Amino acid sequence: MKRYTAPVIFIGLAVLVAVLLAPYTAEPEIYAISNIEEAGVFKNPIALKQISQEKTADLQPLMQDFFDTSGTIVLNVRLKNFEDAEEDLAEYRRAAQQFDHMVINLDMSESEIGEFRKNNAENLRNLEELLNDSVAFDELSQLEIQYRDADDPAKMYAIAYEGEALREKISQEFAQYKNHTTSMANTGKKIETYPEPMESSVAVFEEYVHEISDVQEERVEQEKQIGTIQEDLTLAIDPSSGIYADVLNATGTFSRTGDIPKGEPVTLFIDSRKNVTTSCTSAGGYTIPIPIGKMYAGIHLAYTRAGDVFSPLVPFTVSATEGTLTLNVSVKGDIAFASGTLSTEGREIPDAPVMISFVSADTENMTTVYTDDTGAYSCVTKLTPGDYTVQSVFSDTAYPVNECRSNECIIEIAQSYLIVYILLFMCFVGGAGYLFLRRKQGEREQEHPGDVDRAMDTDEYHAPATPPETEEREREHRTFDPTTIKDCRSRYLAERGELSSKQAARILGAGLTAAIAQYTAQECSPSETMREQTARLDEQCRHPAYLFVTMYEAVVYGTMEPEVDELLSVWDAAIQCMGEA
Amino acid sequence: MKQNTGTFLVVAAVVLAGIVTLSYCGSTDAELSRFNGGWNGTSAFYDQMERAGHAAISYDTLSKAGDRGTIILVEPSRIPEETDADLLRTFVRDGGTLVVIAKNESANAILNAAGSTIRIDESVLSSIDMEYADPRMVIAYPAGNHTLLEGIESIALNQPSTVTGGVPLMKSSVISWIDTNSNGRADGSETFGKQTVMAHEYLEEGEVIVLSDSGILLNSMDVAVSERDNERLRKNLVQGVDTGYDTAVSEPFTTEGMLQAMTGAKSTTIIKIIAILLITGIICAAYARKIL
Repeated sequence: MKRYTAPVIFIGLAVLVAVLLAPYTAEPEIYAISNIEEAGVFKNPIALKQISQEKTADLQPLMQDFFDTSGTIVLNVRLKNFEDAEEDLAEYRRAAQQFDHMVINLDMSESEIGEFRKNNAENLRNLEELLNDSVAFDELSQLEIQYRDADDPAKMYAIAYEGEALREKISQEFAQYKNHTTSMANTGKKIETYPEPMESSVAVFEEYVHEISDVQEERVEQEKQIGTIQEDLTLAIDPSSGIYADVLNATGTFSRTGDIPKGEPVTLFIDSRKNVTTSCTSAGGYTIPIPIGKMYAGIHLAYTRAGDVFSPLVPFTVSATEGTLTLNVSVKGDIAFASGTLSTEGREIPDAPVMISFVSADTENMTTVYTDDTGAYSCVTKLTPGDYTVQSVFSDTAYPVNECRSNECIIEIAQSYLIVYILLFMCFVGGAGYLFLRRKQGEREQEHPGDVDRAMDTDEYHAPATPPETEEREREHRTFDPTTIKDCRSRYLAERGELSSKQAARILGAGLTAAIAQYTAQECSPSETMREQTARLDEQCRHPAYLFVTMYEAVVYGTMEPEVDELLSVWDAAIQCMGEA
Repeated sequence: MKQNTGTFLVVAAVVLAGIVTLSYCGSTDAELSRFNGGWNGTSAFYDQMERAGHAAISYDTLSKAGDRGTIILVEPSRIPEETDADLLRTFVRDGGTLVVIAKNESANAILNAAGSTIRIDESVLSSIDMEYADPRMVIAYPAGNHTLLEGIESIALNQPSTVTGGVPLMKSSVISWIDTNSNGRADGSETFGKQTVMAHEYLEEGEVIVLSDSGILLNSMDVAVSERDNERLRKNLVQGVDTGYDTAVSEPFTTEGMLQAMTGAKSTTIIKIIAILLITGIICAAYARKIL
């Protein structure tokens, strides 16, 4: 065992070094053709990742879908097929989301496709607004019939006013839709799509606006004939424009003939949607703050209403600003922690969607998280081993903040060698345990040598590694001088009273070994069992020797307690056969 | 016996060293070189040409190339002499086909000499449709019919330019752009659209074909580009025509120093005969002196 110790240690170290070097074999330090990405003018395809990317096949159908679907939506709205229009819009939204991801992934945000995407998002919003406003306008028309039948001039006035606000808004939506469509159609033609359905929808939209205007004009005309009492509710918005997180103030006075009850509710409507309700003072004044939050960039229309009295429509502008998106990425094992903040003009943006992409040569992971109250966002993602480029993107036209991207962070998820390390650990622990047990066994042998002898002399037993001291002691027993065979007998007789039967038998066993060596003129190897030594004898002496060996084994292994001189007499017979050597 | 073995080993070592030295002197790592067996050489393409029985054609032999002959020029790096230009023009107009595979505008001199209106525009063509993770590894698609494009659905290019004029034969996809600021993304005033990378035109009896990417002939742009039909295009180039190739002005045959001497010697018959006689003499002398 001793002579194998050093090689085993070196082999173990070699394996350890090989395992530790394994991760570096993918990127050898010396020349490899796959490491030379370029030389001179050309790029080396062997060193580059083959991606076979053909995105035209994905991009063109999506863009064509937008052109086709928008035309259908406008037509359905005009025909008052609102449910069909809603279904088409839902499909449009899904396609737009897919398109957004593609544009961001392919890093085309700053290209004309990126511009197309922005216009498309605006158009989608216009169409959503158009649908909502058209539904509202249609409901007004139904209410108008009811109120006219009920001869309620105050409510008729309210409907006329609400209708006017909607008409104004739909007209604005049309203007925006027309502009965006022109720009999208230009890009679409370059990408070899057919924007005609969308271009046709502009004409349909325009006709629809005219229809609404006609209805509204007729409504206002009837209202004038009814001669509703004009009451005053003023509105001013100060300042008239702002950016994200600014607060505009809607102020005005409600003046009615007679006493004005303190606390008369005044409701602010922005883009025909109820925004907030407040109370006016006893003098009729009111102030309503308009914080600019999730409000698209552009012109918005506001008016207030107190009972059946309406203020004039007052426009205000929300300007877009550049966003700032930070990103920090850390890695622990195969988990990546990404975090950062979203702000604009030094103002944090809460509850806004931030898309984080983890892109490697083989995979693309995209996650959308939302900022908290402080504009901070974070994301924890488990990744497979490899190099990743991490970037976060904010892009939501519902906010008056332009699309922005964080810096790119490169991270590496190392290959996990946990299993290898566990196996190595088990090997080391197993090896150490084995050696420890062997040592314990050696110590036991010193205390109970017979146990060890039994193990050593059994044919069926496959000897484990023997500790050096045990081996040495055995050698002492087996290398008695052949001339002292008689001494073994004398020593046996002298010491058998003091020694155990096993120890006494071992003295005779050593004498037999010496006799066999002398008789056969061959030195007995320490590794041979007594039976193997006996097998070298000729037929005449082998039998009595076997008789002794059988009895010896029975005594040494503890299965038999010999009678007085029983073992000695068998030993004598074997020795005599060999002629006392 | 032992002495013979030693002698044999010494001779074997010397022969091996000689082969290594000759191989070293006879090769180069120059881009596009016909003598470069590495990833950026064109040895595989020209080997393919030679195996198909096509020979190098000089301008002197152009007139003998036959009415329907074809000559391939790769990145012609210098303007031919006036007489050579005349020969080239005559060759094309008499029914020959001139194939120019080049990304540099310097090749326009040849095209001009041949009387072609096709021109190479040394622009930085990039595309979202890319074969490898680099927008300059553009995928191109057939845009016309030609025998050269038989069996081809798409090919991968390596840093291509564009061509103007002629009838387009291959174009990049619609999401391609000229990357004027070379930042690898379409931004600013860079607009998307198909760009022509291969065009042809007929000149009287003959034809001129221009492919604006010599990178397609690189050793590493053949079978390695498994998803595209690059190999088929090369096969069509080699087999589809009764072809010869230019060695006078084409960049793959530009040599310098030891390589120039070696290639010069290999291409000169008298030097080859002298070298064979010299080697035979040395072996005879060694045998006579019982060195061998």
